Amino acid sequence: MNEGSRQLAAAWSVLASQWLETRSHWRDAVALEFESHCWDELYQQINELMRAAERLDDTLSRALRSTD
Amino acid sequence: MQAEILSLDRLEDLARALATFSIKAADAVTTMRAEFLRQRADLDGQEEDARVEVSNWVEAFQFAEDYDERESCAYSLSEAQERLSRIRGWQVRVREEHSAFLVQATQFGCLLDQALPKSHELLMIRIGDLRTYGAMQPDSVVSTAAKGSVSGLFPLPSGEVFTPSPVKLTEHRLPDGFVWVPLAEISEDELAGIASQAGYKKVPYATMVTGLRRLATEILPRISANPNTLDRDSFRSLDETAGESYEDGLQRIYEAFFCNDFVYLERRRGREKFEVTNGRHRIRVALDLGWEAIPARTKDLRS
Repeated sequence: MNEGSRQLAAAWSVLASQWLETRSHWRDAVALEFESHCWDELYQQINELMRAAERLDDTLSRALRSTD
Repeated sequence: MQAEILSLDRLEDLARALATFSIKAADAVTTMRAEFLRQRADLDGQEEDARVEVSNWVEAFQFAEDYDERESCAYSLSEAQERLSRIRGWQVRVREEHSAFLVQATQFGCLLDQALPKSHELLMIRIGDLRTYGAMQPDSVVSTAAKGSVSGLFPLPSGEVFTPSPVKLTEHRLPDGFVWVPLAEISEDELAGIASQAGYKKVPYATMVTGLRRLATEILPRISANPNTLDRDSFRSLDETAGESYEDGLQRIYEAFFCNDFVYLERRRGREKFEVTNGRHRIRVALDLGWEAIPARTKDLRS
């Protein structure tokens, strides 16, 4: 994993922990709206980005290893 | 208004975490892009080296002086060509994966630039609602500790850190000539014609809701803290510092309530309820927000 991916994963981990903590205390219609419209989209988007970064990182690493 | 959050602190923590994440994530994606570009450049550099090597062996083969040398050159040339071909194969795969990554990175960048600020705004509105609710309902489910924690946490658009005290809304002092009028003392007949949000022609309902919220959380605490010293120019100055237009700023809200378009109520002799001369829509919004009273000028002939 490259440095940028590590940074993103660390930032995400902090935010996700905070979300879980907040969600356990926040139980109203706005919480549901926030979860379905904001959080889920962010969660999906960051997963797709991390997967794409992982695939590219893996391909580049193998490419550089096999051609050295 | 029903508030089902046990601690306002948690919402504030989430709003802060979201803002921090937005900055860190943008930096991380910039780093990722740079690292991938650097690695691609390394691969491109290898392709260039391999191409030069092939070219050198072709030349060496052409100038070989005997069979053995030609055979040796041919072998090396074959190996160099194979390496060049392998590198080019990887370049194609890397190009495909890099394109896929850039699509995701661009979408994520849009989310950071557009959707995340909206999410943050939603949180801030909710916090503002709860702050107003907490200020109006001392015994609400928002804990005293949570209300106390609100103070000073949020930089206003101006960048100024404002510290409202957790007092009841109607305990805020009003400019001279204005009083808090309990909404229960205003005739409901006066508001019957404003049943739906579509009835807000002059100022949209959502704008009015925002106006009342900002009145409660940003204007009244300031007036209370600086009685009779703040005027429209004070709020214009705050708007200018915050880079807010007149339409979206505090000056307009201040003027609407305390200058040229204030809520005006009249109670005739022998009547229990006030009639509304001006400000029906604002009173309707105040009711919707669960306010107990509204700032107004009055002509009260009951007593």
